Order: sequence, then structure tokens, then C-alpha cells
Amino acid sequence: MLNYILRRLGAGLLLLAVVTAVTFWIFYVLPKWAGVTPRGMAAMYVGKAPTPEALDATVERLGLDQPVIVQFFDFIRSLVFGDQFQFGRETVECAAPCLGYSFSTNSPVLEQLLARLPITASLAFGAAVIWLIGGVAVGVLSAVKKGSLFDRLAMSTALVGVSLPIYFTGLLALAFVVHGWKILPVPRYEPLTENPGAWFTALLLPWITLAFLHAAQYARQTRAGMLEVLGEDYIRTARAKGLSERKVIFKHALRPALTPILTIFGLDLGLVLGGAILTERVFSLKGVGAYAIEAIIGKDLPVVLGVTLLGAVFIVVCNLIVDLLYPLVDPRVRIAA
Amino acid sequence: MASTEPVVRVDDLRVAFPTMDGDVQAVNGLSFEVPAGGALGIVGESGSGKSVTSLALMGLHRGSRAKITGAIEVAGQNVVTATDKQLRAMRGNDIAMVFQDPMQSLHPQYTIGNQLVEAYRVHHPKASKSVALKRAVEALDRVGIPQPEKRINSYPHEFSGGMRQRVVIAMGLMCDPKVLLADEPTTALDVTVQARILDLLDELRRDLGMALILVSHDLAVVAGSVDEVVVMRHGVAVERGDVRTVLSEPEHPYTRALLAAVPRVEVSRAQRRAQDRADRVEKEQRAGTVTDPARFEAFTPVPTDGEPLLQVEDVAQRFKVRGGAMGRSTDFWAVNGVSFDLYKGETLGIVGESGSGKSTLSRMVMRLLEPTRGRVVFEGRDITHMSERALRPLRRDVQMVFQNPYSSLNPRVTVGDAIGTALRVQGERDTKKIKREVQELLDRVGLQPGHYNRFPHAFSGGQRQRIAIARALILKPKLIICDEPVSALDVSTQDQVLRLLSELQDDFGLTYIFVAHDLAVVRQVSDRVAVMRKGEVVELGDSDSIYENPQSEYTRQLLAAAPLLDPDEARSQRAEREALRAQAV
Amino acid sequence: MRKRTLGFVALGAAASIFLSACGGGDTGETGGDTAAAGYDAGSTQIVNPSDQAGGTLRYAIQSDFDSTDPGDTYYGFSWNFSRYYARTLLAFTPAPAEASTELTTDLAAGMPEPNEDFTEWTIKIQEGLKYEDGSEITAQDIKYAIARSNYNGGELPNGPRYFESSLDQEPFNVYEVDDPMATFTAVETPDDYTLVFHLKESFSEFPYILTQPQTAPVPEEADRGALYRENVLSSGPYKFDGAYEPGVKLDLVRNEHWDAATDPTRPALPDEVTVEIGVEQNEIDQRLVNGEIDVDLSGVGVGPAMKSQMIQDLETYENNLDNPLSGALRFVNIHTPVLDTACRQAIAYAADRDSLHRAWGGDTGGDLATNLLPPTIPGSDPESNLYPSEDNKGDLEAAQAKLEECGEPDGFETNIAVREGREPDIATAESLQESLKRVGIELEIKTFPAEDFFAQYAGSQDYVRENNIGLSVSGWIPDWASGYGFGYKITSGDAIQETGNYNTSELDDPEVNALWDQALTTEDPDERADIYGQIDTLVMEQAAILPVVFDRAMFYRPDNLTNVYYTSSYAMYDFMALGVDQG
Repeated sequence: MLNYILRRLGAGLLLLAVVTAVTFWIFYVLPKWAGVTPRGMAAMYVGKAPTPEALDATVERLGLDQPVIVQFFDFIRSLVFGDQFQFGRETVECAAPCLGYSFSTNSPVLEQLLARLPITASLAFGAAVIWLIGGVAVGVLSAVKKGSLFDRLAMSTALVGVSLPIYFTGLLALAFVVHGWKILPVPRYEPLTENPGAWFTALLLPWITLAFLHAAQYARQTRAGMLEVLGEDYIRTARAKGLSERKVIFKHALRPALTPILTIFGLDLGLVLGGAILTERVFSLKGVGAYAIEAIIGKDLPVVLGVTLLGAVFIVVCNLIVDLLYPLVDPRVRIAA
Repeated sequence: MASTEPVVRVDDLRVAFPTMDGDVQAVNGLSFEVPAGGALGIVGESGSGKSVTSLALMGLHRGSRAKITGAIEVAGQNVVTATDKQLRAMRGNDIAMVFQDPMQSLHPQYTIGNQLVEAYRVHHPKASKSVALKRAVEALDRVGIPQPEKRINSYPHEFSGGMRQRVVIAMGLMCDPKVLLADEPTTALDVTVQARILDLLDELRRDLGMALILVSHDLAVVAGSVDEVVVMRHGVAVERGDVRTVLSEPEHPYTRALLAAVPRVEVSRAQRRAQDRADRVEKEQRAGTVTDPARFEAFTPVPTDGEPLLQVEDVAQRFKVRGGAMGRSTDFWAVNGVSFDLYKGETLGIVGESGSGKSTLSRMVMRLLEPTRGRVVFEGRDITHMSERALRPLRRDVQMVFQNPYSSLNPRVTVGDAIGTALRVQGERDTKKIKREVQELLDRVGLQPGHYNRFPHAFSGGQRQRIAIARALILKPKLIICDEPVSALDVSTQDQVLRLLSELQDDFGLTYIFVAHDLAVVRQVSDRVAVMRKGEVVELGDSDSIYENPQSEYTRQLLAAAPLLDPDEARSQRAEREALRAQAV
Repeated sequence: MRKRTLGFVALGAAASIFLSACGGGDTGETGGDTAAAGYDAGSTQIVNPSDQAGGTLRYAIQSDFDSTDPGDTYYGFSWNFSRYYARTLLAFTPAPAEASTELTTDLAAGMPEPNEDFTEWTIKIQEGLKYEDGSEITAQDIKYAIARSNYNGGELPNGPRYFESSLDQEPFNVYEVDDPMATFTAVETPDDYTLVFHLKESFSEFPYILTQPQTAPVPEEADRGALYRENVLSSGPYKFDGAYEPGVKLDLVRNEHWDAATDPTRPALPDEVTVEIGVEQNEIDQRLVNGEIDVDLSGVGVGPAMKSQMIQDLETYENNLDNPLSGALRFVNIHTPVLDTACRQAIAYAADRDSLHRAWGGDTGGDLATNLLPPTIPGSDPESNLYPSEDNKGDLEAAQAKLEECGEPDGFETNIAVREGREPDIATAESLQESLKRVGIELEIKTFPAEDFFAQYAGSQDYVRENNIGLSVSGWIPDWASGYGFGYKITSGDAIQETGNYNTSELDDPEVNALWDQALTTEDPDERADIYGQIDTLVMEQAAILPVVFDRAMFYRPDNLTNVYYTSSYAMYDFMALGVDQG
């Protein structure tokens, strides 16, 4: 078992290395191919109308004229061993795992990520609870009452939900619930530990908006899974025992129907934890996703790398957890230790 | 033992399913009774309505679109008019059901203990968990699960198929039902396992005084286990009566035809062949065409002189099985050291239970697998390690017919194309010629040449198997390997396909390797038989001597397990089996 | 050129339906007039004048500061905002509209004194000025601030380099040399309250540079390089309340050591100032309308969605809207290395200016431009028009004559460069494409990434020549509202650069160059304005620049905001004046 976890973690690390390399490649090698010179890269980090001297100074300061491979290993080295940064006459330590400094905000990437993580985590877990419970409940009801008005309504809503972009539903929700009907106050995020009320009201709409999109997908999947399971022989066996319909559905049918959803859920949660970019943007939540979008627009490579790595870490970890949980949910699956 | 008051009474039962083209009557006026402690067999081929009837007995059509009229009474409860609650109180408590496929009928994600306890507590909500558990252990012990206290915490996948079926039966026993309804309980099982399950059901019925309703497509399965039998066809009971009477003096032509179609293990290859040829001559004379009976002689097995068509020498196949510590793989020998020769015009039967390696062996002969060890020589050429390219011309000489006629045909390709493709692959360009040949062949295997442009879904299982045979024949192969070609078919269809294979062998001088689990079928088509077990041939010889004078213990076990049509013989054979088992313990 | 407006204004300005009567700017009244709220009142007058102190003034913005460090910033809003905590040597007059372009003192005790040829400037600062920690502000701190913001080896990359380019100073790195103050010889501090600047060349407009935040004092020992932005040592009426959190927030509270008596330009009404960063633009506009925030810090006006909503429902919003000239010019460069003078003039004649105006959103988008200098700049003559035509539809006959003169009677083919994703720029190019086709000039529109537009494409001499880029769509806003501040970099031959070239048409006209030199040695602002007017005309004659519009922004002015007026110097509301009405 331990062996298995170690092996999976090793594979995870390898994946992270590949993700890092690819991100690096996209942001460093691709522009180079497109003919961007080190000075051109430096121009992203300095003000408008810079003098060539200022550009050269920036190139040197950031090491942009180094071969990509050197820059890449510099990054890996500081990740593993930590690094030092020079500010004015001040030297700042960046302990391992050092994700580097953001050039445009001049703050340590890791510190920024950790500061923003609680917001993204609050958003992700809250939304996940809603979409899981809501999606599964609707899916089960739809499957049990297949072909009913509820089923048809729920499934067409789900279809709409899957196809509506968040910036549409989110802006609509804000316009009506907050600015129009003033049901909720203007969302201003506060940490759960400091002001649970504000935390809740600020996140309620983002939760629902983000959850709506996913819930729609989960409802459809749950419904399909339930319908398949309800056709299984063991459901007939359960009925033949004289079990009530409630027990047949909730004990016998739901568990196998949910088993494949566990996998999707792990992946989705990992993705959202890595930053729900659109939701954070629309609701002005300063989470990891908002940080990512700023960084991408500003071509702030260390931040982009940091966010990408963090996202990959979450996906790797969530997948590992799902894989470890899977045998508990489905005893037929054995971990090949 | 039978009391006068019936515990199950079915009167003029009609079950209809609404479709776009109007109602389809699945059961049309069925009536029978089962006395307490009695045993009824319901026999019919697919589509006869037997399974619909068994579901109706449990009230399991509730919630579906089926329309049910008539009366069903189980333990005094009218199933048709009962409320859902009354129905639930009846299910599992008064009547328990055992289903066809034990692999599918237990919930994979709960321990068997959980499922057994649940079955008890649903009808005894006040019972404590420990009481229910104790009962579950007893029930498992009763059906012969070894170490029930330990095994109760296992999951279904940790049991073999036969053991699972025992668990399902144990689950049925949890509430001491008055009736046990077994719907094809042994169809998915090997013969020896089938015999044990049937023995168990019989024993339980006698010991616990339960009534038994045994539903099967196989007359031989019910013969030794029931008192009364209902033969169903197209939703109607064509014959009903005492099992001995029905089997020995069937009144209805359908019953007679059915009985005639059941392959009997006591009938030899020669008898069967003579019968088939006589029937053919008679049929053709009726039809006005004449086949000279002497023609057949030309193709009767040539004595064992001359070069064999196929030589298999000590072949073995190893598979790597993943798992074990550190993810290391272990070796599994699916076939280990099998040798035989096969001569032109001969049929070699390979018989064995699941996992015996018979399919692996046939795939090695086809060179779909490369043997790990040993030699395969076809027409004097060593093909053991021949490259795929070098094998290509040989592919037309060896063809295969598979078990499942539904999945072996591409649903999007017309049968004409499905059969003709092989010709095209071999380089034939003249489409008219291809069509002509395919149509001749369709005619030969008993289909209409006009079926050329139809798609597979338009054909029944038996017809599809004929198409598969035609596809194998189109290249005029020297050897055809039939892997369980009739095991998915109803008995009457099975009989027709076997006849076809026999006729084709007469006409084209074909050589067969016939792989099957059914002892009777293998005997009737094989000149020689190899009995396989765990990758090895335990006995090889001419079929009559193997069946009449088996040398190996395993062959004897197999033969003892083969279901017999005569109820009395079946019972004496059962007693023999029990004696054998008692000795073993 | 501050980063602010470059093509950012009115992204979705399909606003030609807006009533032309609402065009604004025709009240004619400027100066200290005050008025109640009304349409466009804030553009020319002080709306809701008040001296009521207290309350919290709430800002919000979508994107972040480039830096909160006064020595490392080039965003217009950041210059405007940094005055809360960073006093500069000079300041702009706190008054509505053009009156704000006049200079006044801030830290300085009086206006700077030049020598005869404007190569040496001396300025004195007030005595007894204090930082937030109570320590005294000295001339040395200002010298150090200028040093660190101009000679830092890329440590502080964002700010402009006016001092570096004008001071007579060998380059050095303030963070590497042993004694930066001794190395930095171009600025002398004979005593704690006097600064003497030595310039390379005559520079009559040097005082404008002294309004820039780089002159806000930074004590050498307080400098933490790029980290200084986290907590700037305040010299103004407010100080940081906790560290600035990039992308999240910046809060300011009163600085008790600031003395109002020394500071005539800052009423400092609110008790607290908060900035919420990273709020989505639509959300900002919604909150602004609902009174949940007070000011959009970005100072570019409402977003496209809200703008079109407001235009559709004008009656509701009318009294809260201001539609001032932003001080920016939208124009098309006509590249001299690619096209001869007569060919350029042909383009200027053939262009359908009316259609170009509509491409920019008509009257709410801006005013149709026929000259170079925006009306807010002294010396500008918006009435002048060297290429007149009926209804501004273009003079095709004159264009044809010019085409013959340049030897292309049947017209020619060239490319026009535009920035990707900028709808009005693209609409401008399309309009021009249509109108030039009338005289046989075929334009092909080429779009390029906005961020690399000047660095690699339209601003690269090689690229323009190799790819026959005859025209490029551009925009310009001055660093300060004078002819020099506006026009030097886009029209002077000395400003041409190999890459990152903003004199994109590469106009290198001896007459124009000479006039720029002359202006830099002319003391009287009126005389200078006259010179700028001549330059304007010359550039138009050369047809190096085809002006399109002087654009206008649409601001929403909440009712509870007091002392609101638009200042031309920052091209947004004067943040220093703002207060909140507390009921």
C-alpha cells in the first residue's frame, strides 16, 4: 500500500516536471521561435517607452539572455533548494520550494498563492458540496421518474446549464440578486475564521454559479448511471428480496451509480482547486484563478508556472485520493501494490 | 409429501407488452398449480414466455408497462391485485427467487453477509443483527459454503460462479420461503457445477419442504428434479403433466420435436450420423432431389495412414498475470503440453469446463496466438512461429466459427458483404462472381439467396450462426475450428446447426475441431475426443470408447454430471453422485 | 505617454445614436465655477462643492497598479492617486478642465528658476515638512528619489526616464555604487532645502517633469528597492494602513504629520481611502451606480456594457454623467519611409473623416479632429483644417491631383497596421480602406498583437520597410498637457528609434526639429504655445499624421461624491479634491 502511494507520488512528480517543462516551453521557447528577442521579453516587464538601456538592464536582471535550458534548471534548482533575491541593497531569502518572484508584482509567488488559496479552496469545496448533492439528487430523481415532467424539465435545465458560460450566468446572478433585487449584499470576501457571515454571503452566489455548471453535468451522469444500474440483475435480486423501493434505490442502485462519478469528482475538484478562473473573475474573488489570469495577461512567467504547478499538484493529489478511496467504494477494485 | 392445497396457483395468466405495433402477448392463457413441497418444471425455448412468467410470479412487472390479467396466487396472496406493500412482504418471505446469472445477481459492492442479513431483516425488522448474522451463517452452511463464518465477510467477486449461485440460494433460504423459484439457475455454469446446484436444490426441497419451480430451456435439467412439467411455446403451455409421462410419452408434436432435438450423451457419433443421413435422404426424396447415400462413404474418416492434416506437438501457452508483490507478474500456463494429430475428414472434439484451456488451444492452432512451446504443423509445414505475412495464404485454409452469433457479425455490414469480404481480401475482383458464390453458399447453409442484402439484425441466432458458417466456408478451407458454435442456441436450433455441420462435412470433406463444454454434443459430432482440464489433456481417444469406458477420474465425473432426460435414470445418477461425494468426505 | 488610454477607451462604443446635442464642452465656462449635478457638469465645473471632512472614500479597479512606488509608476491613475501619500516638487493647479494644466508648487517653496539657456534649474523646498514618522523631508531625499527612479539597473522598471534623458549625468546604478549621492552629480543639494538640476540641453518645460511622482522624497535608508512599494513612506496627507497587497487591496489612513498649511493643493477630506483591486469592470460599474463604491480608480470611464446601457437609458443616468475630452488623439500614422509626401497628402485628402469619426463612436466617442494638438493643449487650433472637404467626406479631386504629383495616378497598394482586438482601431482602418479605394489606393489591413505593436511591428523600422507598412493606427495621450509633452515623441526626428518607435511615421523634418529646439529655449508659455501651433501646422502639411478624433471618455459621477471635477492634467477626476457626502 505504502509502496503504491510512493509509486503514485513518484509518477505525480514526473508529471509535475513535464508540466513545468511544457509551460516553460510555451512561455519561453514559443516566443523565441516567433522572433521575440530577450529585449522584447524584457519589454513585458518594464513600463511603456523604455530606453534600450533599461531593457538591457532588465534582460540581465531577469537572466532573459540565458539559454532556455539554463533558465529552466535555475527554476528547478530554486524549487528544490530555495533561492535568494536582491532588492535594492536588500537580500531576500526564498526558502524551498521557491516558486520564484513575480516580476510584475514583486512578491514571492508561493506566498501569493498561499494567501489566495483559502479563497479558492472556500469557493471550490463549497461549490463542490452543492454540485455533488444537487446534481446527484436531481439525477437520481430524474432516473427514478424517467420520462416524467420533472425529468424532462431537469434534463433540459441541465443541458442549458452545461452550455451556459459562467460569465453569463454569473453576471446575470450578480445583476439580479445583488444589484437588482438586493437580496444579497455586495460580495466582499472575508476569511471564514474572521467573519463567517460575510464569508458565506460573499461566496453564496459564486458557489451556486460554479455549482450550477457542474451540477448539470453530474445530474446527467447520475441519471445515466442510475438508469444503467437499475437495469442490472442485482437490482432485480434486491426487489425480489422484498426490499422497499427507497432501499433499492438508495442502498443498492445509488452506490454503483456514484462509483464512476467519484472519479470525475476528484478530477473536477482538483481542477477547480487549481483556480476557478472565470468564476473568480466574474465575482472579483482574488483567488488563485484571478491571480493566474492576471499573470497570463501580464505574461508573468513565474506566476504562470506557479499556478500551473499548483493546479497540477491538486489534480495529482485528488486523483491519488480518489484511487485510494476507490477500493473502499468498490471492493472489486484492488490496488496493485 | 405433496399436500392438496396448492401453494402457487396460476390461472389463465396473460402478460402483454404494448409496442408500437400493438400488444405483444408474451404469455397467453397459462395455468398451473404447485402443491406445497411440490416441484414444477417450466420448459421452453427463448421467447416462450417462461421468464416473463417467473417475473410475474414475483410481481416484478410492477412499474413496467406490462399488462397482466388472470390470477396468480402465491401462498394465498393474489399477486395481481396485491398492494405494493403486500407484494414486498411476500417477496423473499413466501417466495424466493434464484436467477440465471450468479455473476450479475449479487450486488458487487456489499459483502454477502450484508446482503443475506438484509434479506432477513427486511421481513423481520425486529430481529437483532446478531440473530440475522447467525441465520446467514447457517444458510451458507446449508448450501455448502465452506467456512461460512469467515466467508460471510467476503464480496461476491471473491467466489466462483457455482459458489455465488449457492450464495444466491442461501439468500433465498433466509426467510424459510414456501416456494423457491429458480429461473435458469444453472445455464451459465459448467456441467459439474450444474449438477451440484441441481442436487442442492433437490436436497433443500426435500429437507425443507419447500415447493420448487424450476425454469429452464433444457428438458434434461428439469428431468431429474421435478414432479410435474409445463412445456411452453409462444406463451402457451403446449403440454403439462407428470414429468415421466411427458418425457416418455409426449403428446404434443412440439414436445416430441424438442425431445428429439436434445442431444443425448448415450447416442454415439455413428448412430447420430446414420440418423442424420437417413433424415437427409428422406427429406431430399420428399423434395425430389436425390443424393446418393454412397457419396457419404467417400468422406467417412480415412484410416490413420498417410500424412495428418494437422500435427500438434507438446504445445503450451504462457500468460503473464500481473499482481503479486511489487507488481511482479507471475506465469500462468493456460495450455501446457498438448499433443494430437488430426486427419483429413475427421472431427476432433475438445471438451472441458471453463478455464480448461480449450479456447486457448484452438487459438494456437489458428495461430492467433503464438505457442510459447511446442510445434504446430499444418500440411507438413511448421507454422509455430511463422510470420503474419507468411501465414496469410494459410489463413484461407483454416477458418473459425465462434460462439456468439450476435457479436461476431458487424451489424452495419450486409450478410452478403460479410461473407464476400474474405474473397475480396484474397484478391477476387469480379463482384458478380463473388455475389454468385455467396448466394450459392447462402442456399447451401439453408438461407435464401435473396438474403444477400439484409443486415444481421434481421436474422435469428440460428440463422446468424449459419451466416457465420457460410463466411467460414467461402474460402473452401481445409480445417474449420468451431468454438462452442451451438452453446448460445436453443436446443431445436442447435440440432439444426449440428445437422448442417454434419452435412457440410459429408459434402465438402471438411475437417473439424469442435470445441464445446457439452458432453452430449461433442460425442455426437466427434470421431475422437480430447478431454481437457487445467490446460492439459486428461484423456484422448475415439469418442465411443471415452464415453463408454472412461479411463480418467475426471472424465467419469463429467459424465456423471451430464444431465439425463430419463427422470428415473437422472435420479439414480443423482444418488450415485451423492454417494461419490459422501465417500470423498 | 502614460499607459492609460492607449486604445483602451470606449471599446464597445457603438455610440453614434447618442444625441449630438449632448456632446458637451460647449458651455464655455471654465475655472472655479461650481454647479449642481447635471449632464457633463463635472467636465468643466466643480460638482457638489464641499469642505465636509470625514468618511471613507472607496475606490475599486479591475487591474492592478503597475506599482504603488512613486518612483516606479507610469499609469495615469497611479500618478493621480500616489499624490495621497507622495508629495512632489511641483503640482498641477487643482481646478476643472484646462485650468488644471497650469503649474503650482507642492513641496517647493516657489517655482524653479532656470539659468539663461534653460540648462540649469534651481528650486527650493519648504522647510519643516515631515514624513509620516515625523522625520523631516530634505532636498537630499528628493535627490535620492530621482536617482533611484532613474538609475536602478532595471530594479524599478516601470517609470519614465525623463530625468535620465535630460540630466547631464553619466549612467550608474544607485544600488551598486558605494555612494549614490556623491555619484549623482547632475543634481546638487547645496543645503537641505535647495536642489540644483544640471541638464544636458536646454529644456524650457523642465518644470513639468518636476510634477512627476519621481520627485516625491525617499530617504536613502528607507529604500528597499522593488519592495518599497509594499509600504511607501508617506509625505502626503495619507499613509498606508498595512501593506499594499498586490492584486487585492490598498488602504490609506490619515497621516498625522502632514500639515495642511504647507499644502494648498490637497483638501484631504475623507478620513480613510480604500482601494479594492481585481474587481471585474462590469461589477465596478454596477457598484458605482448603486453607490457601493465611489470611484473607478482606473479613470478611463465606465465599461462598454454599462456605457451602452446608459446611452439607451439616458434620462436615468444623464445627471450623473460626464463626457470630457480625454486629452488623447486617435490618429493614423502615414509612414514617410514608405510613402512620398504627395502620396501622403493624397491620403489626407481622400480620407472620409466623417466616416472615421463614426468609426470612433461619433460624438460620445470624441470630437472629429483635423489638427494634431488636442483642444486641451495651449497652441491648439481645432478649427484649422488643411484638407477640407464638403461634409468632411474627403476631397477626391485634390487627392487625385496629389496622386499624379507623386507619380501614382492610378493609386497604389500598401498595408495598414492595427492592434489586435481593438475594435475602434480596426473600424478606423476599415473606414480608411473604404474611402481610399475611391482613388485607387488599396489598403490591406494587418493586425498585430497589441503588446508587441511598437516593439516589433509598426514601431520597428525594419519591419515597416520590409513589409510595406504604409500606415498604422495609433493613439497618444500626453505626459503633461503641453505641446512638447504631447507632440515631441511622435513628431521629432530626434525621437525616432529603431524599435519601440513612437514617431512611427518617422517624420524627420528639419523645420519641425528646429522648432522643437526653439521651444525648449523659450521661457514664455504663450510663446511656446505659438511654436507648438506652428509645429502642428507643419506636421499636417507633411501629412505624416492623419488625425481622427480627440476622444472623449464617459464617467459616472455618484451623487454622494463631493468636489468632483475633471482635470485635463490627469485626464480624469482630480482624486485629491474628492470627498464623500455623509448624509
